Amino acid sequence: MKKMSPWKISLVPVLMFGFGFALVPLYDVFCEVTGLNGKNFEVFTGDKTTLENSGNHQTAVLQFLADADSRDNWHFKPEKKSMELQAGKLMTTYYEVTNPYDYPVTIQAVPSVAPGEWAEYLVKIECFCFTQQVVPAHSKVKLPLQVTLSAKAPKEVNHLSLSYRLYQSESLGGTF
Amino acid sequence: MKRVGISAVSALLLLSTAHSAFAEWGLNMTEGVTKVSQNIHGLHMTIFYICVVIAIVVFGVMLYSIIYHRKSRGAKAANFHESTTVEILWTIVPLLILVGMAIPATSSLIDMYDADDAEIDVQVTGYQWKWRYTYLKEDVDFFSVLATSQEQINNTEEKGEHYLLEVDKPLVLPVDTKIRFLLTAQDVIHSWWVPDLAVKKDAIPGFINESWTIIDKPGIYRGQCTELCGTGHGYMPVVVKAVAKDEYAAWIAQQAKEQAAAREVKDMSMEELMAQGEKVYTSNCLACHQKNGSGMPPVFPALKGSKVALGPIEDHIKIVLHGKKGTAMSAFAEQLRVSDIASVVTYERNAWGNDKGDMATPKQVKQIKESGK
Amino acid sequence: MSHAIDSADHHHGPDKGILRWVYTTNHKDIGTMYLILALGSLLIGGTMAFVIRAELFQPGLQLVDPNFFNQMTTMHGLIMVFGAIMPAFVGLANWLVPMMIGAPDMALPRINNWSFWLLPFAFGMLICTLFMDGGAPNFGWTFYAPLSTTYAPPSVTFFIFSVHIMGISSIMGAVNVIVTIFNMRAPGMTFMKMPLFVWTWLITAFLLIAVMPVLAGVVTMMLMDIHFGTSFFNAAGGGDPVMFQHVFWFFGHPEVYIMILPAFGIVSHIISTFSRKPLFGYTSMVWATASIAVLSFIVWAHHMFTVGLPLVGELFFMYSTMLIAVPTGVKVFNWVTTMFRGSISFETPMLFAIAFVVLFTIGGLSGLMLAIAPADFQYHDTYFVVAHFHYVLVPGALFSILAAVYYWLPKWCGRMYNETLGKWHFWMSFIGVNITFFPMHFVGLAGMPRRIPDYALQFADFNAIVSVGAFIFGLSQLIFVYNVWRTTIGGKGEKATDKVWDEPTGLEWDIPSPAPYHTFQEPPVVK
Repeated sequence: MKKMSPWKISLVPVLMFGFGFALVPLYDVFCEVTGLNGKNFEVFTGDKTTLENSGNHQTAVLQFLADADSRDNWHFKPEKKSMELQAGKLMTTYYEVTNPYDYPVTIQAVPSVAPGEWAEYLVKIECFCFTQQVVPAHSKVKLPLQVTLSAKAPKEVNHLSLSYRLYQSESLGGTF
Repeated sequence: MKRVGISAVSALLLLSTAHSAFAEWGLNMTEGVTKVSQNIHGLHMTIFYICVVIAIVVFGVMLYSIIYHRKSRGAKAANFHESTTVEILWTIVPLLILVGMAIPATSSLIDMYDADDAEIDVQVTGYQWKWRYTYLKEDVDFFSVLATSQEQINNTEEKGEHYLLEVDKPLVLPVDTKIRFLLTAQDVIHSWWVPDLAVKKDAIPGFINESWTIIDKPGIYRGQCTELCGTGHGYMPVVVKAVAKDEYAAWIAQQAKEQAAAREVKDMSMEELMAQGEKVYTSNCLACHQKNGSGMPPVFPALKGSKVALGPIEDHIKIVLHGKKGTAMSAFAEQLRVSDIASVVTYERNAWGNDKGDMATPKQVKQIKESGK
Repeated sequence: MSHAIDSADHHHGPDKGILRWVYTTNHKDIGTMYLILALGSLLIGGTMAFVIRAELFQPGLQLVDPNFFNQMTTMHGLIMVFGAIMPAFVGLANWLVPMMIGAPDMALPRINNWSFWLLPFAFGMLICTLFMDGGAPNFGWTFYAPLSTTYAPPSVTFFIFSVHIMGISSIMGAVNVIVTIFNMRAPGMTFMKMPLFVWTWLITAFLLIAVMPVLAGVVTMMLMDIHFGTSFFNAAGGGDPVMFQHVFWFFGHPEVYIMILPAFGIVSHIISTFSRKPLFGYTSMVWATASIAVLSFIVWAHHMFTVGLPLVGELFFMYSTMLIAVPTGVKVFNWVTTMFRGSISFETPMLFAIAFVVLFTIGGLSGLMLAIAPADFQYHDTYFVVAHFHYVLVPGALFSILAAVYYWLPKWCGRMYNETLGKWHFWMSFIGVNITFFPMHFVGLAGMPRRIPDYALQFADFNAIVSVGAFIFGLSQLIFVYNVWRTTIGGKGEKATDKVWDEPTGLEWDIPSPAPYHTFQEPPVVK
């Protein structure tokens, strides 16, 4: 009878422990494929003129939401509550945030799009959420955002909601 | 004695199962007041009956064997132990039943995921342990907190009809209108559920989830948080008041006006502050810090004789405004008006034998709030 | 073959005193210790259930505050899952697998000793958290982030280490079972001749080595988030609390089957013996078990239908979950057909086995209802779910363990348990378990969320009934404890024959009762 080595079989748990951690990047792929969590909006880095010449002229309403640890204190809010997006047309808008503290604060905005399955049709060209932002003490800053609707958007996509949740630097983790 | 007790209870149980599934006792899922909820109820009943039939067939055969193939009746055991035909049959037949179940389930699900545009957008934010409703297109934004008194919870007062399912300000919505809920949370994961609307969606910090409803009938619909979110998980009900469209329009206009007025700051006397402070304390602080300010150490510290309540008033105001990181103390800057915060701080410094004698004025609170220090 | 075990020179039998238990490498001793540990956990976890049910007897807060209530629900779940059900099955595997395959002991006897002795420390640490500042874990046995990370009591670190230790113990136990089954079968015992308990445990062991490390991974990530500033589950740092649920349930769903597959094996043996008929469809039983195990890896998100999964996700997990009904159905049909045209007698193990089939099927059918994603939006996180999983875990897993103890106890200790007490135990348990868990379906459907310390008035009547049932069920387990005690330590009860029952099949019935300290020193030949 062929013997099974306990050492060999012990490799399985070791590999599976690693697999547990591999689930973290796999999960991101999963989110991208299925649209889970509304994280898979498109980040556009190419030539902007290619966006404009797509031929699709569909429109959709984009609604802006803002949340912070203590929303009123930070006065974190979008300049406009909503705006009309048109495929290929680049739209720029701002979020405003006031640092109420005596010291500069580093913030990170975490975006989320609803409905999650349509998030891929939101194209971000420029967003303050791509990097951390430093807000000087007692000052108000405008955070820019440039977006458009994807030319791939099917007809039924007539509205999107874009939400930002603001986190302060002290609550940020170390994975940046 | 014990046996009598058991048989009484089991008789009761049998009685209740006999009447089960038939709505009036509150034993079954509600049919609700939306197309989706009725659809789900129908699906639930269909699947339930299929399950009952399966159970009757399986248990029937079993009961037959138990009765007729028992050794005490002199039954002789047969010796068969496989039959490919039968085994293939009872793999295929359940598979077909499952396909039969999956078809209506899929179509209901597709209906529920219809993400078409809505007329009203409400952002629902879960906080430990209350809900915040923001009407996104209008300027209306408020918190909805449990209205049941601590006396009822602690059994010193008779419990009301809607014990634990009542709030100070319900979410008011019009009927026959498509309403979109955008759900998120401030701290931990919550889940917003109203059985009559068949809307249940998790509210997750940092992310936004979407759900929708069209309510058919005016009425008051009650639900609860359904994701364990800490100590107060059982105490954050959801109440939706569905009204006619014109009534809703009047209500929302009124709310917008009132909320604008509430932002103005007036001076208040010590008596006014203490009286209002007690009310604010009762509905916002009492669950953790207790009626007599004794708290539940170490999780919820006492306020009676505490360093904060007897220390500098600015620090006291700041803790109420901004909460304390890493503890269950939440920030009330957004939830309460400045006059409420001034009153509750004054109350905490002068109640239960705390005798600072000083008072926080609404102006002072406003100033601290805006300075943000 | 004997080179695999170095305890072969212990012909004189066990050492005396406490050191016998500390140093033992004997599979029977270790099995006994696992079973005693499981019984202890069952009683501790049961006491916690008493606290929960006493508080829920009436609306309003009477006995405990909500925070302590949450600690009780959390600890009850953890202790019952990791401390009672799983160690009980490992204990049964220790006792039975070598005897069933004709091996003298487990393949790795010292590892076996170590994997047992890790457990008292793991559970000691877990129980100590109850007395720490801030209290024990209060975030539910599913410990969803961020409630279990950013918002957790300080004792969460001890909880994490405790999970790590019990995970290591389970993995070593599972490796041991796999190696034993692969290497130490008696000549002639091919895979398709193995008793079903061995088969189901082999598959369970593979599930264990596949998913316990994932659990270890997820708690490690929590530990890093809490203490080392990473952001696996913290949205602020680019992490995602929903990912916690995905990774947890990737472990959690196979875990559910870890707690039920060995039960399938046990029940198959018992039903066949007391129907005096060979098990119907042995081959399909093996295949059904294997396919349940495989399917368990692709159904995890049915625990998360309301987190906002996209439509395709909901559909995929709904269909895959429904598919599990097919192999599970095959098993139930096989058991019923085994009974059909048998010559059935109703000793205590058979009573528990029949109750298992009936009540597990009820739990399975409510599971099928829960699989229907649109309806799950109304069921999710209500008492309907509580009713469902208690039906599969209490009259499911626990009843099978009780049945197994009654069935094999005469072989282990050489004496028959008291049949009258056994019947009392069964009927009290059967009635109690149904009074406890059946009304939970109703309150769940009527809208009562799970994990709440206090509830609205319309749920009051059923909750009172449930609490009464829980006390009946809980207290009737004392009959079992007494019955086992008087048979083993008390030395009462008539002497068991070597076969114990009428014509049971399996190598364990070929050795004398009680089973000698060392069995199958010379491997038997299986024809």
